[in-house]
Amino acid sequence: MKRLGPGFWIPAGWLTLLVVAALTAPWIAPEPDTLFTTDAKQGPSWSYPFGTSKIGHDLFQRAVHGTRLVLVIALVATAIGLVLGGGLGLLAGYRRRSTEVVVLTVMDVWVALPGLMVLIAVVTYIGRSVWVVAIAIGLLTVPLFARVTRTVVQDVAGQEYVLAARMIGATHRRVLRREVIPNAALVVGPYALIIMGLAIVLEGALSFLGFGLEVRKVTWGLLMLEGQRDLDRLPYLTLIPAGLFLATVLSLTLVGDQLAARAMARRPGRRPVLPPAVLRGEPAPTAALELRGVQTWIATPAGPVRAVDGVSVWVAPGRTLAVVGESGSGKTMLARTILGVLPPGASANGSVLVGGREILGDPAALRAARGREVAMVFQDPQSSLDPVMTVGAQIAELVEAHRGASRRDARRRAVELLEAMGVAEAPRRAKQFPHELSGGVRQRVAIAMALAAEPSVLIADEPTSALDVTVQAQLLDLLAVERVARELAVVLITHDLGIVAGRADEVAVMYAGRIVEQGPTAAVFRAPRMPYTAALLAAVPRVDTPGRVLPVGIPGQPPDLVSPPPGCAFAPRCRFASDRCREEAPVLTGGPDGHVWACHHPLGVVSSLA
Amino acid sequence: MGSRPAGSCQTPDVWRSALRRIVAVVAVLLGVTFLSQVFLEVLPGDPAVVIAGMTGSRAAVEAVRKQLELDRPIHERYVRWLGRAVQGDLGRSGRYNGSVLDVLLQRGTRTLQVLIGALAVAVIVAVPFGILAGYRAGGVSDRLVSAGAVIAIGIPPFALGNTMILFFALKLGWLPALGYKSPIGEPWEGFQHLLLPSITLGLPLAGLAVRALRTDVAATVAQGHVLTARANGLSTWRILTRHVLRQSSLTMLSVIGVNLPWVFSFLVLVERLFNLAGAGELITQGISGREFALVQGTILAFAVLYVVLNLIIDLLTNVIDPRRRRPVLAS
Repeated sequence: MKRLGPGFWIPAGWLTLLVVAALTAPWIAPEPDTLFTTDAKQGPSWSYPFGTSKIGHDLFQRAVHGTRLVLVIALVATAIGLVLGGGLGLLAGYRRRSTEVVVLTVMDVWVALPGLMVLIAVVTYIGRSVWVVAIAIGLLTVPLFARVTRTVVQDVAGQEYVLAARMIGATHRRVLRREVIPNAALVVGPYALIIMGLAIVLEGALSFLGFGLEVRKVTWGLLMLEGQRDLDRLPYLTLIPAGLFLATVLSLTLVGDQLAARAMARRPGRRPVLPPAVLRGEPAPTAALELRGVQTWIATPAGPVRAVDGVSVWVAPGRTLAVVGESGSGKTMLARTILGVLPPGASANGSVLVGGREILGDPAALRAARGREVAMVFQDPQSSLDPVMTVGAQIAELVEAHRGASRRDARRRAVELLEAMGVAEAPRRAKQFPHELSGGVRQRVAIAMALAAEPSVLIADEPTSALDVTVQAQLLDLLAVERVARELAVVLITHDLGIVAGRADEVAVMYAGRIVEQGPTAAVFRAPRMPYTAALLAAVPRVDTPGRVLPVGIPGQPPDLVSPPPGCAFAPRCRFASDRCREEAPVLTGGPDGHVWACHHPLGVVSSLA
Repeated sequence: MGSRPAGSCQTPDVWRSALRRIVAVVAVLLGVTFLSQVFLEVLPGDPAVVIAGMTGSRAAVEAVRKQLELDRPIHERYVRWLGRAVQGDLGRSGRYNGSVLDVLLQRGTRTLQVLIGALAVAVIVAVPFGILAGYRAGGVSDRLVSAGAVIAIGIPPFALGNTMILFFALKLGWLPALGYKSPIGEPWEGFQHLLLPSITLGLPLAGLAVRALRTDVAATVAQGHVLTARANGLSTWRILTRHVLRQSSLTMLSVIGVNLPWVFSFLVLVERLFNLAGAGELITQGISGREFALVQGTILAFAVLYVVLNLIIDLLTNVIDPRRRRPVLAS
């Protein structure tokens, strides 16, 4: 949690100063009503810090006594609003149903009353005492507290642990006292400070309009009213009380905001110090996309995480590379690194070459490449489309942006693309919004968007995981058709080796941010060398092997990437692991057919060392 | 799952939501006017005495009481007032010696102009700064903008208004300090007269709007479709204006709607400060002079304005977010 800085302590200090001034007013400002007539109309000086009024009041003394009244009114008003509004909010948020409806309706009307006008009516008819003003302001803040409290209470009461407490038989009273109220207080407490600022402004407005407290009760607002008449000649009469208002209301808001932020507190960590790039792998002159020693770091509260650790791969035009791994293996980060769309706090180094041109670390080249050279399809078609725009417009927008087409041409092209993606009734679909389409159609739209600018590389990050099996196969076949027709280099990212067979030319298996085995799909499937790959293959449910119906998971968890083990990252879960595995990380080695693996004890290979 | 066309099944939903909205509107209008009636009723002081004058004879007071129907029970008076109000008769004002409706219409145009000016200030300030702060949430621009928003929210309107008059009108002489000029006859003069009042009234609202927009922009920027747009090579400008702003303006609009009563409140202050002779002051004058018809009429006018502006915001919300106007069919 971040420590409170001067942005908190300075306003908190000002508020403390005000409280001290209010408490010690009789001593530090003993004669607020005395007229120093010979010193009238004097600007701020050592003897009169705030200057003197037209008839000779010492404004500092008046302001100090005003502080007393301002603070009392603000405190009483806020307390009333907090108790009543908080209570109503608690009732509405916790009880729900008809109670909630009634409370909310009343609050809707209440909040629609123009507050200042109500205040004026109250003080005009009931009286101008401190208590009347404070209570009236307090009542005005009730709906504000009620609304905030209700939202928080609903939030807390819906949490699983509260539901769980209810289920094991905790009474309402206990749940309210132990769970709901403490959590609500964390949010509503800081909010009260902000409302206190509003109360001060309201009282000031009242006094400024001439509806302030009874005679001889001078508040800051009255000082402003008095000063306004001489705004042109004695501006300090206005500026000083204006400054008091500003400083106080601002301080309350700042302190309240920061306490609220602390109550929620979750902050991103710092950027990690980057280690030097590790270069590895063979140059590939014909590659549409080539990665060399790509590393990606993500800042987390626990420290920097090495999400991608020295990955070097390449894909030729018209070919498919499948990147396979469990969730958390770094495959999605790899995809995002290629396109430079990393989450906040993440950074990457190494080399990403598109058509031989470096785009990693070169923002201009990256911008030029995105969409036109490399495009991407994401996992969840639900979230990867803009919910407030028709899908046709979303495709057309990309055609327009990348190909300089007119809006009309772009629209026509969008429909053509949809048709090419096998979407039935494409012209009508183009006019629909994402939420009106099925998941399969949405993903076809997402692919159409990616292909809108005719890129040479398509990265598909789990493009079918969110869809059901029959739609999965259709979409993968669609991708295959487009790949051949457009000479597209495809990077297919998936956790499912089952969809890789027959669709990818090459497979790269990732574990803990590294590639642990890579090679032609047939070779890797026929003879996996790395025990991890073998385990992944064994986890694929197969129709053609009777007797083994249930896939077997891989026991254990992927390693902690904040402090990865020194040796092979898979060693803790590997049944072939030796001491060497735990101490020395294996590097990629392998045969002439391009099948490589990072393992000290590759399966089916006679080890050079026992 | 499924992508059936919306078709006829949407009708009941549309009707139901329209009905719900109408009920809410009527509830607010009735609630506010009835509350103010009760409120005026329970306040001490006999309006008949005030209007007839403290020195008025008993008969004169009784005559006023009859004329104002103060001898009838409150619910009856409210229903009668309501019946006449629906027909456009809001009663007469002694102070202005004319019908309340005429006074309201005459002064209301100025008030409306300041109000529109304030809303314009709020949106014009909020959109660029909210996007700037939200797009790079946590960065330097975010901190500066957020600090600015806190200041804008925290400035009491009277302090801001007076300070601006002092600098821009009195010291620099760039703008007129007080008064109103119709922008229809003299557009430039009228605009100049409206500028400071609009800023005074609109800046706190702008602060609230900036914060709402900033939060939503920060959330939208992290969403999948923005990632898709970036990955597919749309320019930042295009992403922000076409994909982020639209979706992110929903909370901002509702924040503006919810805070309208406070804007109305401070309208009284701003009208007084800049000597605009607008409709907001009618309430203070009506209260001081115990002219209930004037108070009720003005409160009704503001309640209608509140309801109408909130309906406009609702409509805008529906235009912006298609998910709200059609039944959700897909999973």
